Amino acid sequence: MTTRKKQMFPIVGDYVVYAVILLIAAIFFSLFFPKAGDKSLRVIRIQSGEDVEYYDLNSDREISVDGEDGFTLTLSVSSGTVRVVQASCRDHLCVKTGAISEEGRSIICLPARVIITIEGGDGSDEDVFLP
Amino acid sequence: MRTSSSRKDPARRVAELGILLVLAMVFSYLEALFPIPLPLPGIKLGFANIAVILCACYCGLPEALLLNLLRVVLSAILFGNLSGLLFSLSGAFFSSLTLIFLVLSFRGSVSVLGISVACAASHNLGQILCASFLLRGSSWINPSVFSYIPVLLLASLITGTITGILLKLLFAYLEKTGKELRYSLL
Repeated sequence: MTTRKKQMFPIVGDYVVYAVILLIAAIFFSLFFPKAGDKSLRVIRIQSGEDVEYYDLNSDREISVDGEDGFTLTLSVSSGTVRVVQASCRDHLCVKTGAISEEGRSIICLPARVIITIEGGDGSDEDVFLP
Repeated sequence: MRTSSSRKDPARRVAELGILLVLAMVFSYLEALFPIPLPLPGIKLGFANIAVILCACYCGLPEALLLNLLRVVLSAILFGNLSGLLFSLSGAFFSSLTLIFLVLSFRGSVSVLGISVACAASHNLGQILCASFLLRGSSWINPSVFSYIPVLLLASLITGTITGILLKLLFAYLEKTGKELRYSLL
């Protein structure tokens, strides 16, 4: 009876598995969310297929994005956040993701192959021209 | 009934595999019907893992790999879309590798709870790798997708624990009723 009860609890290897997974999660977290950057310098990076465009996060506007396979997305930028308000794909996961504002966050639409990422925009390695 | 000759009976093996495959596909179907109401794409409980790990312990590892492959392909054809097939295949490939590795190398020191969590995590990692490949643009891989890894790994800790506890209950019941298991993972 006691042995069967004991079998219901985790054993050493289980804790090792948990620890390894938590460690990997922590490593990737520290890689992608390093620090809170200067808010005034943030830009929206929109990748559609192989095309990449940058927009200022601090000027409110609507942006239309043409994705692959004829899918289109409409983005709304307002008060330092960006969200997808309309998408012609079937699952609308990008719309459900909601608004993002933090550096490193992204909205991904798989059917249209569109990735919307917020970047620091401190011009570390690329020249960014904002339209 | 529990003699070794009946375990090797091909008809019996086919029937057992068929039952487990149907079980895995029903789990896949139910999870597609009732997704978890979270604004996070790609997270599900992974109950199909129960059938795969049960198959590994009851029938054997090669049968479990076959079951995993068939489940993914058949579920994609019947209930899903073919664009999801690539993701599922990639996830199933990595979770199968983890299953083999843990069962063959660490049996006795890791229980079905740890195996379930590790399979869930590696399934998610496989899907992320697939996504970063499909969304690669001009480079060979897209690293911005990797920022989703911490979320998926934490989710797999929770979902893997849930399926792991269910598997523990199932294995305890099987051992109590005297079923012969190739690998006891309690």
